[in-house]
Amino acid sequence: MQLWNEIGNRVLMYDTKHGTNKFGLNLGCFTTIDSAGKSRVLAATFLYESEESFDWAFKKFSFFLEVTHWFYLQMELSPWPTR
Amino acid sequence: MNSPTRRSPKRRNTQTSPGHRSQLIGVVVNQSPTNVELQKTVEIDELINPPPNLRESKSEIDPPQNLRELDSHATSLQTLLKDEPILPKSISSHYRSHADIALTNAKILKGLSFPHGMPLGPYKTFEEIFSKINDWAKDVNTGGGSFSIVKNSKNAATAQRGAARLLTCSCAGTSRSKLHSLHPLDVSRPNQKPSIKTDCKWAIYVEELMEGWMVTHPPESSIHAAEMSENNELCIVHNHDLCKTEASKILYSNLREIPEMVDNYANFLKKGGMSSSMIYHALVQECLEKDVDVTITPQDIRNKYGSPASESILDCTNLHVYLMQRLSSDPSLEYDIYIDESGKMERIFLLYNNGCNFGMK
Repeated sequence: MQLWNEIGNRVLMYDTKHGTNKFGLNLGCFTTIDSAGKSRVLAATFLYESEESFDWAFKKFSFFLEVTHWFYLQMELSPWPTR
Repeated sequence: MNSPTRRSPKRRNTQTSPGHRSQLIGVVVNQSPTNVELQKTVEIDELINPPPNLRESKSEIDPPQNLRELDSHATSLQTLLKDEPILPKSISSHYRSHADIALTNAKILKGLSFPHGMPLGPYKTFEEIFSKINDWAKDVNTGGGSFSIVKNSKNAATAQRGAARLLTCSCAGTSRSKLHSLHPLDVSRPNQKPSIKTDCKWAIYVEELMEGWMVTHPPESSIHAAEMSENNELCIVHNHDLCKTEASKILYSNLREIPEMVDNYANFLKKGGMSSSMIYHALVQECLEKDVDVTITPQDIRNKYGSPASESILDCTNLHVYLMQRLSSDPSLEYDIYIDESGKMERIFLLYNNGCNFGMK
């Protein structure tokens, strides 16, 4: 938590949501946390989930928001348990 | 496998199953349930290849050949229609009649009666009788005040009677606080509304009779509760206060009603593809313009005009046009679209409002 408070709004989260539009493109939001602790959506993407697409999305984000340094932390979520 | 102790041959069910009923066509001799055995059944095979006596009788209903015969044929049909009541198509021989219900109720109700003015039927469909009773219940001037009814359990049709449904007061059932005291939950829900359930015993059975759907009788527990109550004339009573004025009905979502004039307008807006929140704001505006009291809430509109989740998927048909307009109005709202070789839109990137000003630079 201390580390989280120190880096503050330098943390960016990006995750896609499945099947949110009729074209099959997945909505992904670039989200961060402001100084008040509230979530802020900075940008959004619609894309098919692929490594090339994600690379393109992050490049666009870096270009528009002039981000120069990235430290990736990839979190793999386990699939939903099947009954 | 047969049990080693079984000596007699395996018993077979000689009763006709409900599925077998579709193979038989009943010809009613006497409609009383006590005379079911008098009903004559005709096999479908006999109908396809009728015996000679039936073939002869068929000639009696041959279509008329000339105008004079046609006139006499119509007259005879009219006399038949005058004598026999027209019954719905769904009426079957095993349904009870209104007279049967009256006889049964004389024993069950023990001198108690249904509330004055309550619609008892008959009505053609279950939905019709449900809406009639619900309208009567919601009226503050009838039944001692306003309340609403809900559909409870259903009993399928049997060999002796038609389908039946139990209608109860919306306050019937155990309240959530009682349930929680028995099974306490770990998760606290501060925004949860208090339960409206008061274990009210107001309940009635409606059944499909030969005449149509009618109110038959209350459950035994309802009659017992009515006997114990102060009002010893009615067979169904509430154990809670009823809304006596139109203004107090607004407090309860199940009693609130969307005015008919506004309802038509809302249906029109829904067909136009408006979301429930937009419909709500449009209806409020409409009510204010026409000097109608606003008695609706966003939740009422969501319940009645809201779309299911499957229909509320994001439609980005005109997204490119929208993004262009957005950029022209605010140059900081940049976007990029990647189109593949076949011309298909494959990736979209868009900045949110104030996104680029927010500390990431």
